[in-house]
Order: sequence, then C-alpha cells, then structure tokens
Amino acid sequence: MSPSQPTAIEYETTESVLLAAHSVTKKYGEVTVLHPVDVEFRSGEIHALLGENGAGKSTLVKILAGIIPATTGRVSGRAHDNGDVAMVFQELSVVPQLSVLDNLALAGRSNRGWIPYRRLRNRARSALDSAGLTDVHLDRPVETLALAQQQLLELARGLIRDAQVLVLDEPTATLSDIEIRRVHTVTKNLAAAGHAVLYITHRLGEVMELADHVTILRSGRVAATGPRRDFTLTAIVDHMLGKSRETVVKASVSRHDRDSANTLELTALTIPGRYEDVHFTARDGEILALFGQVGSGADDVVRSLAGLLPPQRGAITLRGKALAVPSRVATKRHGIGYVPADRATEGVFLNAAVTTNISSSALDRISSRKLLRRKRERDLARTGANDVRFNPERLTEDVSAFSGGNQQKVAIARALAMQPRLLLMSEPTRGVDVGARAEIYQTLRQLAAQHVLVVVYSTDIVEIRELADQGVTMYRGRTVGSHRIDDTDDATLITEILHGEPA
Amino acid sequence: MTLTELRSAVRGSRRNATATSMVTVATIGLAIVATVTIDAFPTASNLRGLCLSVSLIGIIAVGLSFITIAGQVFSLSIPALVALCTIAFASSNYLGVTASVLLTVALGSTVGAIQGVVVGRFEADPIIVTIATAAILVGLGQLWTNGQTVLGTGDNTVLNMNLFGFLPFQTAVFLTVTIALLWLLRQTVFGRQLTLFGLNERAGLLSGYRRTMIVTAAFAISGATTGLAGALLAAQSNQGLLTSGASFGFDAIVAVVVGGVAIAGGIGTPLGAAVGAVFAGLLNNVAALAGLSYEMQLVTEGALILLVVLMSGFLRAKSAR
Repeated sequence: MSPSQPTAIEYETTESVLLAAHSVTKKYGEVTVLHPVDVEFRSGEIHALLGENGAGKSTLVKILAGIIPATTGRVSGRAHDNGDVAMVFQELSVVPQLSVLDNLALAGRSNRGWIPYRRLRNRARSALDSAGLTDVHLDRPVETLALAQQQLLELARGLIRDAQVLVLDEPTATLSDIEIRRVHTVTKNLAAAGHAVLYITHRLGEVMELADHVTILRSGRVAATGPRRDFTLTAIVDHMLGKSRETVVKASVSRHDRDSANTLELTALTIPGRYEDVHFTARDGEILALFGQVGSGADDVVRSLAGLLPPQRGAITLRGKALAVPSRVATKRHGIGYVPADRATEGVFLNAAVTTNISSSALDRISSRKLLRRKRERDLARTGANDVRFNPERLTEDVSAFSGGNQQKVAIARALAMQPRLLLMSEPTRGVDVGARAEIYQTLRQLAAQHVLVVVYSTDIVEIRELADQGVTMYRGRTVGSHRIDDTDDATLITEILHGEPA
Repeated sequence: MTLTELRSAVRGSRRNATATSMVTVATIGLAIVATVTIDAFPTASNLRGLCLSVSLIGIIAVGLSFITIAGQVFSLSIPALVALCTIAFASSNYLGVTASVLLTVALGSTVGAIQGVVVGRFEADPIIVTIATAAILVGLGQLWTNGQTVLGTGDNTVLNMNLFGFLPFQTAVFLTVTIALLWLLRQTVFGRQLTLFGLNERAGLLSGYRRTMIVTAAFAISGATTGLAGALLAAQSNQGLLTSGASFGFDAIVAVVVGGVAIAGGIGTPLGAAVGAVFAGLLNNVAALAGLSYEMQLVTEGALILLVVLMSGFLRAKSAR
C-alpha cells in the first residue's frame, strides 16, 4: 500500500459529500429537540435515518432541506448551496385530479408565470422513467394511478428538479410487499446514478436490504452511525430503544381456558367487484390476521364487518348467531369495535383531548339520562389509558400533540372503551415506532386472552408473524389459505398473497 | 412532568377558548373606553337601545352556532325565515301571546328540520340547500300576504316590558337561550356528539353517531331560535312584514365568526356566538355615538371585525406551531 492512498480516499470522500450537517441543534423555546448532530450524505449512497417517533428525525430532515432554520450549527455541501434537496413525504402531496404532467409541472422550478410544456414533456418523461414509471402516460390523471405509482410519482417530482439529494420519508409505509420492491429497485437505481438518498423508515427489514449507511437518532442525539454492514438487526433496535427493550412474548391462552362457542364465522361473503366468496373462522383466545396486498380486498372485508360496507351475499355468524352488518350504528350495538388504518382522517379526533377521544365511542357509559358525568368520563379515560399503556398524565392534551404510536394507542383505547366483543383493526401499527408497536401487540394479546375476538388486517409480514396466531391470506378479493402462523414459513404466506395459489 | 408536557398541557386546555376570550376582552375594553370617553354611552336609554339591538341577533346567532359547530357552515335562509315568522306571529296573534309565540317557534324549527334532513340524510351542500329554502320561503310569504303588512291583533305588551324595571324582556330571552344552549352543548350526550361530529365527521360516523339525527337537530335548533327572534321582532311593532329582519342573517353570521366558532366545525360555543353578537352591536352603537356617518360606521365595523378574525387566526396559527 502506498502511503499516498489514504489521502486520495480522503480527498474523494470530501468531494462526494453532497450534504452535511455540522453540530446542528434545534430548540423550540426551552425545549431542545436536537442536540448537536453531525451527519454527512454522500453521492451514490442510500443512507437510512432511523429512530423512534419523536427522536428528532423529521426536525433534522427539515433543517437539511432548508425548510426550517437550525438554532445553532450549519448545513453545508453542494446540494445545500444549490437548493438541491428534494423531500418526498409519506403523505402524498400530488394533486389527484390533475394529470401526471401537470403534477410534475407544479414541482418544477419555473418561477415564470407560464409553463414551458413542450420542453417539460421531455424532461418529465425521463424523470418518470428513472422513477420506474416507464409505463405511465404523461396525460393520465393521477387519481387513476395505484398508490405505489403515486408514491413513485412523488419521487419523480423530486427528480424533475434535478435534486441531488432525495429525502424519502417512509415511502413504503402505505404500500404492500410487491409494491415496496418496486420502490426499492428505483431507490437503488437512483443511488447508482449518483444521487444521495436519505431514507427514513420504520420497517427495519428494508434497512438491511437497502441501506449503505445507517444513522440512528435517539432523543435528539446520534445514537450510532456507520456503514450498514457493521450493524445487525438487533443492534439497530437496541440503539433505537436504548437499554429498555421489551420483547414480545407470544403467550397464547391455554386450550382449556378457551370458550369454543365464541367464534366469528364468515361464509361465502361477497361484494361483487370488491371481494368474493370470503370465508374464515376466528376463534376465542386467538388473533386472526387477514394478510394481503393493498387491493386484495382484505381491508374491505374488515370494513364490511365494521358495518361500513354492507356485503351483498353470504353469512356472518358471531357466537353462533347470524350477524347483520347494515350500518356502523348496528354493528356498534352488537359490540363490534373498529380501529381504521387511517388514524388522522377517521381513527381519532385530532383536535380534541385524549379523554374526549377515549370516551367518544362510549358516551352511554359516561352518562345517565343523556347527561354527561365528568367524573365517570375521567375514570373511563384513566382506565382506558392504562389498558393501552398510555401516559395518564397527558390525558388533557389534544391528540394532535402526540406521535403516531401514541395516537394509535388513543385510537385503540377509543375502540376498547365500548367494551367490544369483537375488535377489528386495519394496519395496527402503520407509522408506529418499535417501542409502541410492542406495547400495542401486548394490548391485543391481553384482549384475546379476555375472550375478545380480534381480527386484524395487515400488509406487513413481520407484523403478522409477531402478532397473529391464525393467518388468512387473500389475493384479488378471494381467501387463498388459512394457516397457523407459527407452523408456516414466510415464503408460503407471501407466495399466496402474490400469486393466489396455495403453496 | 417535563417542560414540554407542561407547555402543551396549558396550551391544550387554552386553545379552544382563545378566539372567544379575545373577543370577550375586546368587548369589555371597548365598553370601558366608551364609558369613559363618550358621555352619551352610559345612559339608561342608550344601554336599553343597545340591549334591544343586540338581543334578537344574539338569539339567532346562538342557534346558528349549532349548525356551524356541527360542521355545516351556515344557514343562509335566516332572513327569509325571520320575515316569514313575523308574518306567522302577526297572523296567529289573535290566539294570544303564548300560543302565537309557540306556533312561530314550531314553524321555525320545522322549516329548520326539513333543511336539516335534506342536508343530513342526503348529504346536500348546506349553503345551496339554505339558499334554495330562502327562495321558497320568500315566495310562500308573498303568496300568503300579497306583499302586504300583516297587523297583529293581540296584546303583546308582555314581550316588550322591562324585567325588574331595567332588563328588556328580549334581552332576558337572549340570556336564557344562550345559557340553555350552552348547557345542551356541553353537558349532554347530544351536544358532545354534535361537537365531535363537527370536528371530524368520519371519525364520528365510525363511533356510531347518526349523521341525519345530528344535522337535523342542529338545523331545527337554529330554526327554533330564528322563529323566536321573528316572534319578538313582530311583537315590537305588532306587525309582520316580508322585509323585516333583512339584515339579521348577515349579522348573525358575523356574530358566530367573531365569537370564535370555527367555520370548519367542532370548535366554539353558543356563548362565543353571544359574545360576538354583543361585540358587533356595541361597535355599531359606539360608532353612531361617536358621530360617524352611516357609511363610516360600515367601514369601521367591517375593519374591526376583520381585525378580530385576523388576530384570532394569528393566535391559532401560533398555538398550532
């Protein structure tokens, strides 16, 4: 080895740094959200930024993208100087009614009063191609695209600005496994083309597969950083959580404690065009998971059971009795609780206090003669918070003040307040950090042990494995197989949801 | 408790009240300034006039706030309904005061409930439904009266007397209705459902709330208070006329907005709407006493209302950050 080599490498490394934070801090009033953070992003690298909700990821990213200023410290790098940082948010910001081209035009840098469509078309085409949307026509309205395609379009919006640094904030949170692969391929290609990709995710499997470099934030500090090959999955989780790490124990209820009459049975349930001939049986003491991609109809089945999408044919039997599900009012009367996937729009009341949220589905329990009893409401909220491991000191705050994990706990407490006999849940831990995830699983386990029937829908194989006893796979509106999760390997489950044939 | 938690705890409980408390402070401040600087302001006759001008608008505004809180924006049929109710009152006046007031209120709440069913059950746009209703009501009123003034034939002195020698009857009704509706909103299951439904309709429906029931009730309540205001207005001059109360609809909307009821729904109370009505009335009164021309009164009123709305919007943005 020649002595000059390290210098050469050093030189090249500095050259390829597109964006760097130097001792960046952020304070909101008295509260420090970021302690001095140093981090570098290089061209050609996929850099995973990890941490629980509230660890400071979004704040750091916003500072890097120049959306908010740092309190002290500075951001440097070529990409920073040229404003070359594009953010792709988890929530879609495309305009569904407009065409693909118009959406790309909106992202463009033109600050003239008109849009140079002819020139734009060429650039738009190449941006779409590199975002993996080769088969999408420019004039197609965005609302006709699949969710994954819309997510990729978000990416293309970053590309059309020639952004060197792309920040992807949980791009796969709402996607199913096959669509996630598509996003991964595109991400890898972009890195290979010389972009620096900053990848934020809660799915740790992705990190192992995708990232070149890993930075883990905890409580506003860098807990660990380095090349991905230096980390194992367990090491990453340990760094994210610090010392206190709870492992999920899948303690099933012993057989003889089970109530064999307590079942939910679906036979030949059908809504033409959404799902057909769906059948499965959920048993006492078990958690049943419907596993399928977005569009497999599994979510619609759950919504039907909740009374939001009445089925046209087939039968539902709860505890041996026929169950009609014509409306939410009716299903609620039958003791069916429902936690939807989309927290912000229908799962919780964001601008109301946690207490109000928890009592909202059980107003009859906190009132007598239609008058509210505040003390009963406070007691109910405290019990509810306790059941889902929510901090009882913070019951008077608005739900919007909390992270995704805590909001989900409120959504669950809200459904539990009505003392359901059957709890339905879509995507139980979407956008929820690892710590809260484990607590939510434990809550659901306990419910199952208390003879509440639990049916969840999930697109996440890791979740199915950690949470469910029984897995029912769905493909294009039909149930494919039903398995004891512990006796089944991932390959079988994934093959069934991707190809629709029992493996 | 960490500092963050403490901060957001304080903020959380204060947020909904921000806009309303701002306008309350502004109202009290304005009243004090007027008392000190304008000699004609703190006189018995002026204060009585002020009470009278505020009360009817206030009664309408506290009812209207239920529509707004339920997330159904506004009713634009209020002026037409007030006019129709003055006619109904005058026409039924020969039955006696109590009967004609009850009949008028019943008419108002029925008209309100019908609009509520259309908006609630069939998910029609509240603005369009209430505009259409206004047209129908004006037309019906014309057919009923041929455009003539209807004279009341009963003795309505009880509605125009002063309680305890100083409190106008209308003002007493205004205060009572405000307190009753505030109680309904805050203490009952229905009020809680209405508030949460207005805050997030889809989450409300998932909780098993009935859209038709909530929206219909909100419109019926607004209709009832509008009918009550119409009856009191007709009793003032013992007559019913299709042009009565033409400005009430606009003034009531102003009161609701200025009083801190969020147009998006779910935030605010009837008490806020009542304070908003007092503020707007006080503003007009002070402007008139200060010798401003009618034109200038309009300009100052509009400008001050904008100021209040801007400031409460600014406060909300600040607390949301």
